[in-house]
Amino acid sequence: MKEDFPQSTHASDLVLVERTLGGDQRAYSLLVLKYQRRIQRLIGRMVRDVDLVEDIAQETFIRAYRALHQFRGDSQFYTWLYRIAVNTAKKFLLELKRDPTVSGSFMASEEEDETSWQKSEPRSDETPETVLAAKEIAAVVNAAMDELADDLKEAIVLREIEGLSYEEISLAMDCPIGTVRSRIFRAREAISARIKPLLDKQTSKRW
Amino acid sequence: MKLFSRARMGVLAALVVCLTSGWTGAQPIASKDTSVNGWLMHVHDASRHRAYTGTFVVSAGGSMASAKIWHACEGDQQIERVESLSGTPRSTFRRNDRVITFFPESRIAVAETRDSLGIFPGILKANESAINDYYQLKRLGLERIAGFEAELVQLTPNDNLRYGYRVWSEKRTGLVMQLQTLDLDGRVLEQAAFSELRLDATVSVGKLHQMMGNTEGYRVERLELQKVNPEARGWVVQKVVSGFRPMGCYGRTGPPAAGISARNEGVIQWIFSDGLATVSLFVEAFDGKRHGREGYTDMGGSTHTLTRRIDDWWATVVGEVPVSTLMTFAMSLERKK
Amino acid sequence: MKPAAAISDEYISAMADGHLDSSELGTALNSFNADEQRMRTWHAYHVVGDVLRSAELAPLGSDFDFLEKLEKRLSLEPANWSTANGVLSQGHSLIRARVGKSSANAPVLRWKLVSGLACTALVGTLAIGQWNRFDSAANQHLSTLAPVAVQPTTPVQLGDANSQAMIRDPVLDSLLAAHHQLGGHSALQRPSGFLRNATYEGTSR
Repeated sequence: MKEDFPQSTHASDLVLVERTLGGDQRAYSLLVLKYQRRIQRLIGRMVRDVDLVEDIAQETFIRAYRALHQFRGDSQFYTWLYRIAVNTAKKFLLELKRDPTVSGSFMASEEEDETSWQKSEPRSDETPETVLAAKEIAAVVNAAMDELADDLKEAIVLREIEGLSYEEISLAMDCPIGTVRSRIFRAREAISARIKPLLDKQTSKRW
Repeated sequence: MKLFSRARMGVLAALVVCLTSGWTGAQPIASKDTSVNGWLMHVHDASRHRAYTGTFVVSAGGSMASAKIWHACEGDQQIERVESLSGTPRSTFRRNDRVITFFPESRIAVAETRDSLGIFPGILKANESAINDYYQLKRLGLERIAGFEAELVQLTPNDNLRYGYRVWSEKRTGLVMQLQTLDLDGRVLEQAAFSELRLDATVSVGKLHQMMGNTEGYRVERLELQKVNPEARGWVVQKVVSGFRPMGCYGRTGPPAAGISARNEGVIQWIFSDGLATVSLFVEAFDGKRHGREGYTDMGGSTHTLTRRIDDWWATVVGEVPVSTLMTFAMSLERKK
Repeated sequence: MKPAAAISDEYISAMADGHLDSSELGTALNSFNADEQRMRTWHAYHVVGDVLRSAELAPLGSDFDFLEKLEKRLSLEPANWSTANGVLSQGHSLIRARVGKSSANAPVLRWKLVSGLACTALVGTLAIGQWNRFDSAANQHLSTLAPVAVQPTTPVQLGDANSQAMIRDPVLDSLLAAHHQLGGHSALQRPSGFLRNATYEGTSR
């Protein structure tokens, strides 16, 4: 399974896990906001039904929460979460198979091997509206990237796509680490400003 | 894309520079050597010549503490930075045996020299027979830890007086990546491990030196250790727990505000070790106001403590050993007649 | 530490990269409580990163609606990973049982306990706040995830055991620190021993 998260966020994840165990539920919300899209994409490849994807994703995060004290930090948090997602999805599917009142196939493929889910299956939670909204967000991110000043663009590409640490980026760009941190921040700010209104449109919450 | 290749070249160039300046190469693991000593020597040597960064996690009793680590080397010098991610915010720097810990919240920096005290390899010589008599080493093959191939070795005690260990050392370099302390039933009491590791990372020795020496804005407190003669103070340990040897006895002084010393004025610390496990016997004058609770305290993990009153004295025994062993130590401490 | 409201989103950006040092981390985390908007910012930054890596990861629906639903369900969870007696884990029960036995067999040991305190678990040494244990009997199916199976425990009480109090004992903390400082007689001192002690010690001063 490919890890496309830059390595050094692991330390940050550990802190959020510790804080959650210490009673800070908001720390868990931060972890959810970070990982939910990847988890939903993963589940969406295993399961066809739109509502089921969300249910399984919800259940995954609840089970992870209950088992949090068992996470020893000796693997990436996402690796641990991934296994919970896969097991949860399998259980849901097994139960559906057993239920005689339920008909039709819920699985994207009959193989239960998780490696079969690497191929790009069309996702089950895609409806025309949601696809459009997602495409718009992706398009705006790319447009905003194109408009960034070179140094900001380089910094955020090295961080998010190449997965380099701040130290490595400061060497690559021959500038102090403080400058790296600032450039990445300014790049993110510029792009976020463009997508926040789109993200807000998706929610029923009032900000 | 042009952008990426330029960046990559820069990073690669930097890595090459660091590698050639700091590294003298790893010794291959002596696969025939099943003595604990031999393996320990190899593992000890491993970290001396590598630069690495990573995240370190200690889990004990279901709780977890973590820190980010930077380690660099230059010739004979080892320099390390440990940035806490849990608990009180603090940064610990070590250059060979000098250690300084910065506490940003209180703006206090505590400086100490951690005297070799017969630490490696002297400790091995002193305990040479002990380790091999009291522990057995078994190689259990390879496992993957944090993306690296690591060799797993089990150290099993031959008696019930000490704990066992499972140690994973990175295959190529021997660097200890994960260490589990096991209780007498083989359950994991504590695990200390790199949850992520970058070997031969780009770590600037100069930068670490600079950070370590930058005490501006901090009040620096120095802790000093003095050697103490326990017998001269009237203490004797009639029968040391088998396998353990006394490794030294110390008292501490420092400015009143220093965390450790203020509370430990007049406390002596008598250290015993079997080469792998350590027990400290702390002795101080009995103080009715502070010393009310005798007995065992469980804090999770492999470290246990036990307190006992001996006439006008108060003993606290601390160690990574089963409680029964601590009890034996506590009972063996006596006032000279 | 700076007041939570005063810090800039640059902290959130650095935190998302795991590049805050220990003194900044607490401030950054607390700032989420003070300011709802920061959650949006954290979210937006991560959407940016995800989308840069794969356009497929652009959110199809509202992540915050998902979160709100999840939080409602989480609020129904016990949210304390603890047994009735406070801090216990698989290691503890075993050790307590052994201690109980030894006491019975060794009447010469005068192990008195001040009333009101049984075995007191000192969390201070790890300084990680209120650690709670979770009675996982209800979740045995998750035991495949755990390296060691967790079993429900009943503590063996020594002497007069009233309710457990979790107290920090700064004196004991400092002795422990002293032990770890010199207790690196372990041959496994470098690097794991030193690192373990440096990571483990959390005495506040």
